[in-house]
Amino acid sequence: MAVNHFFQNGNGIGNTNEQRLHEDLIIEGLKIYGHDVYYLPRTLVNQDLILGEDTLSKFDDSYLIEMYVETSDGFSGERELINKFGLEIREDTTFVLSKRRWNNAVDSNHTMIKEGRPNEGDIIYYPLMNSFFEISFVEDQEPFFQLGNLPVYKLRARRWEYSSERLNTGVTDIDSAEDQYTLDQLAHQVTLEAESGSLLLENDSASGDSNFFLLETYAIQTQSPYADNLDLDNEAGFNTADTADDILDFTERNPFGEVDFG
Amino acid sequence: MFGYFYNESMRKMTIAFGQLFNNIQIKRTDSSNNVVQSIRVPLAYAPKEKFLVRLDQKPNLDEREFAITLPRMGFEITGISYDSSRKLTKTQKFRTVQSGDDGKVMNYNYTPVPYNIDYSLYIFTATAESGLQIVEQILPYFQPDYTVTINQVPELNIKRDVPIVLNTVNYEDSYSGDFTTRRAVIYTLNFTAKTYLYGPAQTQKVIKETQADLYTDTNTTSAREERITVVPNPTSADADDDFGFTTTITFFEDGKSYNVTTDEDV
Repeated sequence: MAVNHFFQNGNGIGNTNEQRLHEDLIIEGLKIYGHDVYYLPRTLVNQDLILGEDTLSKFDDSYLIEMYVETSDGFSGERELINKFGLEIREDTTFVLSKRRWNNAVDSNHTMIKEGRPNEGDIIYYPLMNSFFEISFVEDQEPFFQLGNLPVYKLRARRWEYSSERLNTGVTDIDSAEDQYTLDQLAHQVTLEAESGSLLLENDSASGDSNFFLLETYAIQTQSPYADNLDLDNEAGFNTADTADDILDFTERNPFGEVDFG
Repeated sequence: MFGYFYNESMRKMTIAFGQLFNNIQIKRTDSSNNVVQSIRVPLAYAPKEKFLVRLDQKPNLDEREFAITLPRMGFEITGISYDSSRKLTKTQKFRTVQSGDDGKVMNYNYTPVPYNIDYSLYIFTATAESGLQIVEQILPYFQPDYTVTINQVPELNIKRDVPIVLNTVNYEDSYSGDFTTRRAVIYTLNFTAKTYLYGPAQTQKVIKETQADLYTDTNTTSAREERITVVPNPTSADADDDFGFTTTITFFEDGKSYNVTTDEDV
């Protein structure tokens, strides 16, 4: 049975002009009440087709766009908590943005993993809070067909669990986060002046990979305050050449007699 | 009843346990299989004062860019239990000679009590691949135990081989559910360290002469007949020197007995 011809003009609720006006009003509202954020599309570097993941994603571009934070009273989620992995900040939020604005600002300038929509796994950098959020789900049907239109995306996002992904967007605030938190030792190796190579040592006997010089500026506890690696080395006496204070003894002993073989 | 002592036995065991996993690496390769990232996995003892965790890991409240940085590993003591199967006689002593204020002294400690200390090692990674790299660097060493030599009581030069047994490996990958539920790849490895706990160290002077008087009757108020005296050879030797013994046997017919108070024959 068809819809009422007198109310809907045979085209359903909302004609193109009304939909356009509705969308313009939403964009204007987002520009008034929203915040400027950077949208960082993910680039897959070495996708593992078996395990279904990419351990080496990078983010080379950023796009400034306005979004409205729907959870205006604060973040949802478990917030700050301490567990066996130290301090975690589990904060979730929802960003609302215009589909048309996203198409113009991001999609028309970047080749997305999946074109035509924000991608789950992309990152939003929120300068006001100096925080990174990973998009966990793109909701595209909320509000549900007002005037027969779907003018906004709602990006369900949670604070990013960073795993040394490369950030080379050209935006200082974004890129400096990688410098501060990456655990990649190769980012701290001594490089040659021409930047065309690095100083390598003989191959590691176990892995066969080349060893390399590290800058003194690198310390695992600087990059990760959680790490106790150097404290454990220190307590075990491994940071000194003297073995008298070592907790672990690596002196080879002769189990069949009293003579030790050093 | 009990006096103060602290050998740091369990603390040292915990540090030694942590040291086993202190240099785990993750290598990441590009599509051409070149290593482009090399990550030393952060490791920490998990239970800590909450205020210190907060202050250490978020000293600046404006620096809250990320929820957490991964990968990371944590470990903790999960149980301490007596192991009767390794119990030895109580009266056996560990001895060592050391220089004291009054010359060389003999330090000793009675047989330690065997205890099993249970540890759990937790591994949290962002990807399954990183988790597999970590556990593959650990599991082959445990068949099912890996033995470390621990300098347990340096004052007595006691070093013990302590087997650390890998009991179970649990794996959790919370990939299912709705999209807003976070995925976490977490391994839990449970170990048992078969260690020993030592009591307080005792000190005694070095014995440099022994003397045994022999009687012809069980009535010790009668006169001694024979005396066996043993001294080190050379007599200047100390307990930690390489020395022999000089045994002197003397026979008596003078009707005297040894007075332990005056150290004379009367």
